[in-house]
Amino acid sequence: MTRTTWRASFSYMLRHPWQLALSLIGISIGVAVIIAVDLANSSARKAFLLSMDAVTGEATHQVIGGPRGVDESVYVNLRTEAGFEAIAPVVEGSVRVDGVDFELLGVDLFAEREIRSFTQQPSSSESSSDSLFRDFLLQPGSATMSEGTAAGLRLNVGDTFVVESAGRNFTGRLVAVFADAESEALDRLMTVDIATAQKWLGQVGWLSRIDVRIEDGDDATMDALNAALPDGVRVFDAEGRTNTTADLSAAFMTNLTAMSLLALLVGLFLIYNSVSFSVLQRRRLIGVLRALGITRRQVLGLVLGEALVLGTLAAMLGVALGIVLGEELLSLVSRSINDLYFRVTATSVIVDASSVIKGLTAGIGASLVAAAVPAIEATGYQPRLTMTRSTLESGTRSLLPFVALGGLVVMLLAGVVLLGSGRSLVAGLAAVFMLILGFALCIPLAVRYVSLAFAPVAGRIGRSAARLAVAGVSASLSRTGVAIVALAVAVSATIGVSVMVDSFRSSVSSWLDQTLQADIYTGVRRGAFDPELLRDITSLEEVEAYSTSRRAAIEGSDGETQILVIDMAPDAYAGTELTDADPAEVWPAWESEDAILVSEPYAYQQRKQAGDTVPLRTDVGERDFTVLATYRSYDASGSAVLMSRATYDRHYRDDGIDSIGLYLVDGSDPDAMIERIQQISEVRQELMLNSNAKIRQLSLEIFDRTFVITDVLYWLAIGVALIGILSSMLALQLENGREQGLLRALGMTPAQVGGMITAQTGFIGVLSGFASIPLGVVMAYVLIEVINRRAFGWEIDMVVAPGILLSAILFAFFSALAAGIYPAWRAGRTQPALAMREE
Amino acid sequence: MLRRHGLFLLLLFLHPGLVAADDAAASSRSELAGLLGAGESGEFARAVDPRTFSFPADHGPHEAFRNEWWYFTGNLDSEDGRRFGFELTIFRFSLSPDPVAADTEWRTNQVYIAHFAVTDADGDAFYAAEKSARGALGLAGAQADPFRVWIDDWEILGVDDDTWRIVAGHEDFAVDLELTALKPPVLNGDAGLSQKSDEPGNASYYYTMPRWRTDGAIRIGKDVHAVSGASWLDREWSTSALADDQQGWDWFALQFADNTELMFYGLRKTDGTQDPLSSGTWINADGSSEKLTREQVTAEVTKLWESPRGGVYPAGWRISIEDKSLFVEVTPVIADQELSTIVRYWEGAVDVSGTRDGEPIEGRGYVELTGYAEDSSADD
Repeated sequence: MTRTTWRASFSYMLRHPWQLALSLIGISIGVAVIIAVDLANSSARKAFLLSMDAVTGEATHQVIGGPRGVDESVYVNLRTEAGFEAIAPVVEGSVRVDGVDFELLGVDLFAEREIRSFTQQPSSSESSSDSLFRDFLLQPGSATMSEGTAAGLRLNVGDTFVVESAGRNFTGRLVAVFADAESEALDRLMTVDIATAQKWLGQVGWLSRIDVRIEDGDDATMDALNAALPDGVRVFDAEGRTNTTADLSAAFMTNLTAMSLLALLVGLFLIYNSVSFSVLQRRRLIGVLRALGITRRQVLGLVLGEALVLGTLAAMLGVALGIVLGEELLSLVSRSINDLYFRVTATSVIVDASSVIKGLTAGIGASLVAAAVPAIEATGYQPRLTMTRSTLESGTRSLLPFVALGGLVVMLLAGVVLLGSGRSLVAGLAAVFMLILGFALCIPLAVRYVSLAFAPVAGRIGRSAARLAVAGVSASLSRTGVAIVALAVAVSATIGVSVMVDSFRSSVSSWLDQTLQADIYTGVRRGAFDPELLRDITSLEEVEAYSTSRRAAIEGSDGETQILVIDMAPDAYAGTELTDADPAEVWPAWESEDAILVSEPYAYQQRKQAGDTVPLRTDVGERDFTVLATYRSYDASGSAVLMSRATYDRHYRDDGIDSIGLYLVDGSDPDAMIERIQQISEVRQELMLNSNAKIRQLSLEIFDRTFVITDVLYWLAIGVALIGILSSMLALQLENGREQGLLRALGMTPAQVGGMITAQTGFIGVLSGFASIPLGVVMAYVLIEVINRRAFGWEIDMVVAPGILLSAILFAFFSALAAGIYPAWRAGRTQPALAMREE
Repeated sequence: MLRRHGLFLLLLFLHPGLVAADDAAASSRSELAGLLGAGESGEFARAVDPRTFSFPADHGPHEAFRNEWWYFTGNLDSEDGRRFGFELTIFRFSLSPDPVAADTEWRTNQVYIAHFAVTDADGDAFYAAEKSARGALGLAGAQADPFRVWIDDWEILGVDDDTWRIVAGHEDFAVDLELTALKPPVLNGDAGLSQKSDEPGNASYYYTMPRWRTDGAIRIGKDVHAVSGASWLDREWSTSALADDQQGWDWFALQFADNTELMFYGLRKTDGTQDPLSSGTWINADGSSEKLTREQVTAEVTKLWESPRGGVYPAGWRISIEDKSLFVEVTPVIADQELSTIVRYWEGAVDVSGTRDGEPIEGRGYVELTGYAEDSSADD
């Protein structure tokens, strides 16, 4: 490649700065979204793993018990009888300070040095270290935390603060702070003596777990440990536990990644558009260069080289943008993870090389792929032959049926992948992308037929300008087609996701209607009801009946099983919809036998159905529970099993109750009752207290919150598509400058020319809108039936609200119009003579 | 002596790096003065007047006092002629004079620390380990009847009135010994009141059971050796501290072949002189005893040993008690018997050889040396 060709290329780009800028922006946003999502995901995961790492310390294993934990006598026994030294008791839980959730770590300093280091090294305290140690051990409520965490609470050493746990308030006192780790591993973590933790968390007599350090391969110690543990208590691999927890959010994160790829996919059309435009613009220059002895290979190199430079620049810009955007997304991602899966406090993104490399590769790769087609096209230009636009468009037109056929084949393949990929989420998402791609390939042909058919109609309605505008869409299909495809894909994605979320929401909503049978629900945020308070509330005369519930988690070798333990009031049974068995047979057996019900997500994920058994660890060793039926549930914890209180009490030493549902006698006023309960519980225990309607509303609020991140990502994809339209229309207008000059010379006013352009963009918008509907609906179906199921296991009834479809078309129309304003205004300003002379 | 460093040791355990590395001794003195001589200690019981000792009750804990310890040392031989020494000490501390909120079983003001060491003279090896625990939930504790003092699975327990058992083990060394008291408790100082400085109450209650026939097993690595020999128990409780001008402590517990014993401690002042309150006890073969004053005993250092971990220790003595016509050389069985625990000190088995009333006499014993380690906080 000679310097001349590069210079020609460079000066071309400089002469079309807006085109350069729009391409850069389009690719940059695509890359930025990918990087932002990747960073947010990986930072949330890393923050979780780092904090688990710090909390796990040197422990290789953890001894885990039943729902209440491990009886503390097990620990004493391990030390005094079995002689284990590298073990440390932990009482752990979540408390609230100043409205913020904190992880409370209760430790025994005497056992800590075998396991954790940070708990032993306060970096500053108000008092001499002897009284610090004494206070920590002797004064209930003495706490330490990292400098940053203390600063966040505006606490100085020596200050006291209110700690809320299980609806009760306690007084904490900051006795020392330790230095912040480089990471945020110790953020929002409070360390207290094990006695304080037991008291605050209501776990007197119980440990959350026992941390154990066993050297790799020391089977003798492991065997001895196993032998020393009673029934119902087991040793788990610490790293395995952490990973199992972290993996809970994997499906959620995969879906986010897929959404971020969508932004790049839309960006891909944009790059294709820019590059092919630049090639078209220079068809004469390329012809001349070919005549001067530049080979086809060199032409290919020139176009791809440009794309490479462009892609690299844009990708680098995208990386910078992505890091900024990642900070924003992180708070959304961690909030959703907190709502759905586990506690994570990630406050800033951790930028790692692999995310950056992924983004750069995606950006540059997409640029090259998108440029490949126009680049190959450019190599076909004959030396000296001055190609006219019409020959080009006719070439494009003749290809359309083949492109569409290719699209059909890709869609068919997508179907095959969907059917043949079992439960793989990634394969399901790949099929979605294939569907989009295949459909996109069919759009140009459809646009041609529609616009040809519609041109005469338009002519009748809006005279020649309208006819020209509509016919122009078909005539310059190589340009308009891509713009339509980009917008259609973006809009169809919003349809797909909106229909999915809407269907999901309506399923959740009707499920809530059925499930919320009681009049009033009350519970303790974390922890159990004060038994006396419970008795006082349930014995109020307005209370006709009540259900109680308890959430418990039992860890097994392959993760945790959430158990929802319910003691049902007579009217409560109707609130649980059984999907595959006769309620009249199921309920009596459920109450009296070693049997459970499984939620739909559980049934899907664990492949269990009525008649199967589920092994669960109990206080008396592992027991098999018979699955009686599957029940519908959109509970945030998703995968759970439902156990009757009677069955639970037979197997676990745990009389705790988290929440109750109160059924009031006819004619009582729930609001008055709520006030009454508030009076009773005040000063004793702070309760979450909601009427049926209120809890329904709160549940839906949480639901909506979970999908905020989805909305954000789709708006970004739409943004890229709009830039595509703007870019296409500007390009068209530039190309057709001469034509427009001619029209002006023929007597069209600037307003008429502008109006023609506006009509054209409006038509493009409407076409995109209509094209997006079938794709959007199919996508919604796949998202609901395949992606959602594979990711979460929920059963959702698909509901297509006409409003969503209508607003999609309107949205496409208006956004295209908006993108066409500037090109229309420019076209109107075209000086007839000048434009014609340009050629 | 080390025993006096107890609380300080506890602090170090929790706050490595607390003490400035370049001036550990000075720092430890000020810490000790601050911790053990002042503050809340006024409310702890103090050893002011002589008291009546009563057994077995006094084998048990005295929680009104701030510090207390059960201190066993012993010299043992295996059947195949190998020479061993052992030390098992359990310290008890009260963190506050008042009882604490009994909100959960874990809350307590009683803390226990234990040091366990074994000397393998023929293998020229020394093993040491330590433990600490709160005196709650049965993790650690002390009781008089039935007698038992323990941390985790290290314990000293009464099998019957005269027979106790010691069990302790750590990775590559362990002991399981049965001990039979050959002499009744001997009260040190003034009928058991042992004055540590001029200040009233800066004293301890201190008794010794100087000779226990000992049989059992010592494990070094995977090798178990059947052993027998003689052990020594020191019991002391107080709320006292070293005075500002006291640097450390040299303590001797010697058992002679003629069934007599000598306990002597020299309190060293910062200026290098010996504190006049240093004293000892001579125990006759029949178990009767006499107090020895500082003037009666001279201990001349004949050899020095430089610790690879920093500090120069005395490593040989010539002890003379004119009144008893006793002139003996005391020699460590191996040089390095320094415990690299958080507070570093030397506590080791020694050989004794010399003359009594002109006749040759042999013996064995244990010596404890504190306040010599430099940079005593660096090893944690």
